[in-house]
Amino acid sequence: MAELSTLSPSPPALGDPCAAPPITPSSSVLPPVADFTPTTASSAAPAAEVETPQTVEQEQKPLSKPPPLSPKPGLSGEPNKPELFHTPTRAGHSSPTVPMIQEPVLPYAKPRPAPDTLSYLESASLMSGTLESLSGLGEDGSSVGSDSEINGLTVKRTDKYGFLGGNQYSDTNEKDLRVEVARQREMKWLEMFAHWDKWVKHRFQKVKLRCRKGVPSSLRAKAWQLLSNSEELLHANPGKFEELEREQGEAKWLDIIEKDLHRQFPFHEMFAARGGHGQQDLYRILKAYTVYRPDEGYCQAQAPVAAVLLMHMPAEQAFWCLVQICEKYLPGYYSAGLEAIQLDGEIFFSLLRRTCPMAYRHLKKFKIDPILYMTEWFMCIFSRTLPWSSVLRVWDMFFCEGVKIVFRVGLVLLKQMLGSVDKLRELQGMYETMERLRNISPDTIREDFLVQEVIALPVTETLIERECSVQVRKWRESRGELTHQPGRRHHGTRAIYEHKRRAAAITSGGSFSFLGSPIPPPGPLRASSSLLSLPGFRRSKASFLSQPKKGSFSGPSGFEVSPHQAPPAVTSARGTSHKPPIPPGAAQKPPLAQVQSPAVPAVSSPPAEGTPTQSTAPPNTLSPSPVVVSEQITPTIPSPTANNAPLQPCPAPPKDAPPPADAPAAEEEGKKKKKSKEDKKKEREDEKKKMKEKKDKDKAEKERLKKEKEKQEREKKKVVKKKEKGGGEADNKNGATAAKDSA
Amino acid sequence: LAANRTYSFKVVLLGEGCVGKTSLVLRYCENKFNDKHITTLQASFLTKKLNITGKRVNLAIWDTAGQERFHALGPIYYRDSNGAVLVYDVTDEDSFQKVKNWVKELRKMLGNDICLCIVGNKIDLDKDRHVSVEDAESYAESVGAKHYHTSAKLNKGIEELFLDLCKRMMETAQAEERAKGNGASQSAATRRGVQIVDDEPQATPAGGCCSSG
Repeated sequence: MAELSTLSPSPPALGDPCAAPPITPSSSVLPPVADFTPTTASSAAPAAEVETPQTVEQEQKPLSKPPPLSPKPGLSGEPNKPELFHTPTRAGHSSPTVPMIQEPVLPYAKPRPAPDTLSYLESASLMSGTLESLSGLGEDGSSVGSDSEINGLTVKRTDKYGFLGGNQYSDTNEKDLRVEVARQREMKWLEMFAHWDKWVKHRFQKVKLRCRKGVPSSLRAKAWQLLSNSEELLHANPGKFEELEREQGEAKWLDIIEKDLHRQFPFHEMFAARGGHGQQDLYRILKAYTVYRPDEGYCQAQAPVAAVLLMHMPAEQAFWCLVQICEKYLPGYYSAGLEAIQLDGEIFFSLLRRTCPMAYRHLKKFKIDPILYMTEWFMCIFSRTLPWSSVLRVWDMFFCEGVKIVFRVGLVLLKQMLGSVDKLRELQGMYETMERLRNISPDTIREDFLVQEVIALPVTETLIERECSVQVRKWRESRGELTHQPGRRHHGTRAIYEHKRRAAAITSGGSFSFLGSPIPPPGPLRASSSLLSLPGFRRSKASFLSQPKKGSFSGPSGFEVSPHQAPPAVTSARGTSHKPPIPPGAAQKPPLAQVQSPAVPAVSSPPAEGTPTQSTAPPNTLSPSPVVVSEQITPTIPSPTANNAPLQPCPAPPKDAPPPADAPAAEEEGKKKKKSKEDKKKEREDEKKKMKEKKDKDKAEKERLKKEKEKQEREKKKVVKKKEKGGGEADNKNGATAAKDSA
Repeated sequence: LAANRTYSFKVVLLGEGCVGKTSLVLRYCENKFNDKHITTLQASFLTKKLNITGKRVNLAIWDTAGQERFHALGPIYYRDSNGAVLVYDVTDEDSFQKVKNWVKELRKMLGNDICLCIVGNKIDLDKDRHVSVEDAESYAESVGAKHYHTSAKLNKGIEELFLDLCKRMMETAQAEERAKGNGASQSAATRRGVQIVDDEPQATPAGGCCSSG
């Protein structure tokens, strides 16, 4: 019980270094949580979850599950619907889960009053403090299919993730880590934050492992930003986001975006209310992206991704994170033509053949194109598919390890749904099969199980890239040239880091070596298909392999060396040859970003001190805007900075208590300065320049590509049409066989 | 022709984003209307069983993503379709223009075998109408399509739309069948996945033709 008292304050508290305003709504739910935690805590306590460093703990989890105090109407969000007709996403609305967390004080504790959206909406809008929703939606009391009767007027009962209902509502009180464990993990993460570059460089395995265990929810925002390197972008581009916001934007995108705002996670408290702060922020970042990348514009699938980010961090941070996802992790996914996703569909299918031949054969037999089931999975990074706790775990891993996680999760799902004779017996047809895939029972994908399976799956980057080049070849043979170049995908934190370093090398040492180096650029410049063909990548991959298993600082081995020596040679060529003129502003950036300088190789010790403080600063500047209407939320917005205090009590090594420690930070800063202030500064500035240049380069490249794309698209269309005619042939056969099959 | 036939038809819903495709199909198949749904990214389908003048019809209605960007995936969705419902929003002129694009594409890709319906949805918002009835209807006629006005919200015009469409698809299928009977290739029918299966004694849910499910 003792923990109890500490528990409720602690999570929000810990979260502070980075917890962002949006998070707060859900943390306001914490009090109710406290209501039932006693049981959880005490019953779980005996299980004594001890953090085991190497393995993802799954064994303990079941133990902490039992005490779901709240009455669980239907164990899972699985809707009980007329079996034949329904699509899961929609079915979500009818999920029987009554979001009722045992709340003794409830004025209206009657289970379910009236099955209409109205009552739900009321509470939803009360939540976020915007009343528009009532007027906007009130009229259609006719809605039949919705669930989530939240009756209490005063009390909003979200699950711990902020969902008010829908099929991603977590009605079970899933594994709650014991407080000490949670706190211990938080400490470990804070320690990593403090020396982030070092960790990525020398102990990436450990970082990866910890991501697989799940990032502590309080630190998730920060972690995602570091993992994706979006924080650096943020600091390197002060004011950029606001600038983008000020631009008018293209009407054709804004129209579509506006239409989509109320159609993202309508059961999440942040997005439930029309015109609420969540929807406003969503608009801001989606619009900003279209201004940032006018050639890309807006793709509807970006909205859910952006929304998930917004659930964790303020708009500006979310924006840069979105940028990283769209450009580094999943390049091309949201671009016109949607080639990348189709290509990944083919890759996915081919990987399925290796990992689960039975599912593969089944899908093949019924001619179910990957696009028919994986589009949303991949484009939304499963944010619409999995139970929320699983979504978060998947995203933790995704940010760290990149797209392979997406592939793996998809493969695990198919394996689960179609992986045995028994399961296939009922699925004798295309429609039955597709329906099954649209209707994944949350029970089959509980987070621990899912993560375990994902980790175990032997699908590596190398494999994906190899498969990618095979599929690219096939694509070219059958459909002509790709307009999107698959090679530029970055497989997670490490690859982004390496890329950054290479880019850095370009400007620092590059000028000499470019003459001798016949090596292609790492960027999108190359039409060459696969990463494997890029020496730089090969090298980095090698270092992956040779990486020390345990986190020990194995100084000179592996990374220490390779990044320094190899990359410069690799990339320098390009750097100079393609270098656009150094933007004059580049040098001025450091003031803000300097403190952080993740890319500086050797001297990484204290800088992270500065980062939390910094990263938290922007939210403050952002949030005061009238955008936030809710009283619930406003007070908590500044939390990122305020939160840290509670951390102090725990035995933190002084340097780990990051943001509040202005003094320590200064101290460290001083030390650092002594060391090599000058050098570092220079390096950083170089870095910045390089980044900037690279960006410019990319931009130019993109524009060029776009033009090409358009041309090719036209050509492709012709080809496709031809194919369609000729290909109709094949289809006919399919149709014929299918007909025979069913006859 | 024996009365004991089961027709299986595939119908695809196409149209710009946010015109109400999902709402239409949801209303028709589950008699639901819900403002709180999500953007359709992954095409999906709902099914409906009908009994039209003693003949059983299994409808698979495919709902698709509306944004232009997803047109790239269009062929995967509309191939083998017997019918297409092209939806626009009566308050949105632009969405009507998009319908025209779809008509062109479908005619080009699937020829005249596919039955087209053009549907102006959201007539509950008639006061904000931006597409004139005459324009829409005359256009539909000019391309050999039928035109309907619907409101998924008020459940207007939807049963009629699908019922008519089914009848037309049956006619087409029967015509093809006759042609086939004349010794010609069976390709026309099979190509588009029309399956005319001898009826197994399966209990069709008594969803008479017009039962608003």
